[in-house]
Amino acid sequence: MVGMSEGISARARVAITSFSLLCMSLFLTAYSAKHPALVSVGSVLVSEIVTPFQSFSEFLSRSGSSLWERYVYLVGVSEENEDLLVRLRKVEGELALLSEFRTENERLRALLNFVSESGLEGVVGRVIGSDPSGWVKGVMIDKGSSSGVAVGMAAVVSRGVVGQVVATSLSSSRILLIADHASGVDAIVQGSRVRGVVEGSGSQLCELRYVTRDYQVKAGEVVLTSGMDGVYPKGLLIGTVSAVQTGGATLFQTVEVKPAVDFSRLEEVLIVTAKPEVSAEAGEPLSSVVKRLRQKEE
Amino acid sequence: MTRALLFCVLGLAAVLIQGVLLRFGLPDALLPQLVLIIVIYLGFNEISVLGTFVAFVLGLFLDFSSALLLGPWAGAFVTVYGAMAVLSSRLFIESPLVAAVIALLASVGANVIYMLLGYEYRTLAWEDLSRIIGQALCTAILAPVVLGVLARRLKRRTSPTLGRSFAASVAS
Repeated sequence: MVGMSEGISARARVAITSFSLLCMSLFLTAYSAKHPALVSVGSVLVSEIVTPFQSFSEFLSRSGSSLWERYVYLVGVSEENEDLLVRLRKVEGELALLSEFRTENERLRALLNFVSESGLEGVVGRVIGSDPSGWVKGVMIDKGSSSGVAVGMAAVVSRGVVGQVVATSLSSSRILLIADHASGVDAIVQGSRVRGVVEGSGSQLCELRYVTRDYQVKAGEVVLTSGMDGVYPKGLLIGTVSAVQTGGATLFQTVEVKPAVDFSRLEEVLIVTAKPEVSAEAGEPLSSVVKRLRQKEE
Repeated sequence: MTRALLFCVLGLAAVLIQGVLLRFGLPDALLPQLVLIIVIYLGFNEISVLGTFVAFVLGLFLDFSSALLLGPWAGAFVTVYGAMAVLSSRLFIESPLVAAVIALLASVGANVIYMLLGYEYRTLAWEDLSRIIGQALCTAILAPVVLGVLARRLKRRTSPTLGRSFAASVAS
């Protein structure tokens, strides 16, 4: 009887503590949304612990990616053919490795050309991990504050914009991709010169928001960074308009943008270390335009 | 206390494995929630205030790994832990089928709580629904195996709670 009452009180204590911690989580969520530095502090700690293991796993995957195909399938092959097959697999493996080096070489060359053509200064980082929950569209790279990477810097590849650095540790950084809900890029449509904010929709597509229905945006038009947000340099490719919907009762039209970068195949990114200057002649900052339009809508 | 640290290390390892699995091309909708399975194990086997804090810390690890918001996963895991602790006397988790069903429900519950806690700060999409269902199914498939391994490796010999063992170690 005594044991049972002890058991019940232990569960009650756990329930009360759980509820208190849930309330604390709610508070932490609200607080961290306004003070991102709080997340960065812990993120640095976790990154410092996890980065060596992630780098090691990345190294293993790179050096032995075709190990399974090269060796395991040889089990059960007849003795007469075994030696021949081993040689064949070895040659195939070397070819695969050479092909991998060639692909990497091409990617890095494209990135170097992009750096020299665009005049951007930056650090090239290798992607070593993704967000472990799957809820946040983000990647982790092997360059951190010791290489000059800082929070707020833009991440790009030769094909276009990737995202923004949201946390850094000494040897690694986390990048929030433009496909994430929480991401926003001040953008301009190349043909019609319409401005808006490209936000992630959680899927592979993004949305160009705050484009009023007065403007004509067509599918296939190219969307570029405007350079007005102080994060992304002007004129970088974000993607192309894939669909435009003008229905509904809102002031704005829905413009779907297909990103130029395939985020699932990212391997190296360039972190732009020199922040672009906001052009004074570019006009009113979009944040104030959005605020004005929202007030008008209300 | 040593066991609490052990679970924290296990949680970090699970975060690492989840990140590596995604990096190797696994779609996020098919990602098993390994950290959640550890929380389920805690809820059934380590019922104490300290255990609640361990579940909270495991959630914080996942929040820190995302580097976006601090709290949603911590809140989700603490709720799952509390629910498991309350239900633990009524359920027989050693049965693989029961373990799978519990993991399925816990995964859906944790994801829904995560969404609710972060609702103010991110928009929701239809893809989220497929992610919740996919992750829950994968977690349910893996849970009986992981829970079995944890039960074999971490079975305590004396007291059934983290709190008691901590008290006992202090007393000794």
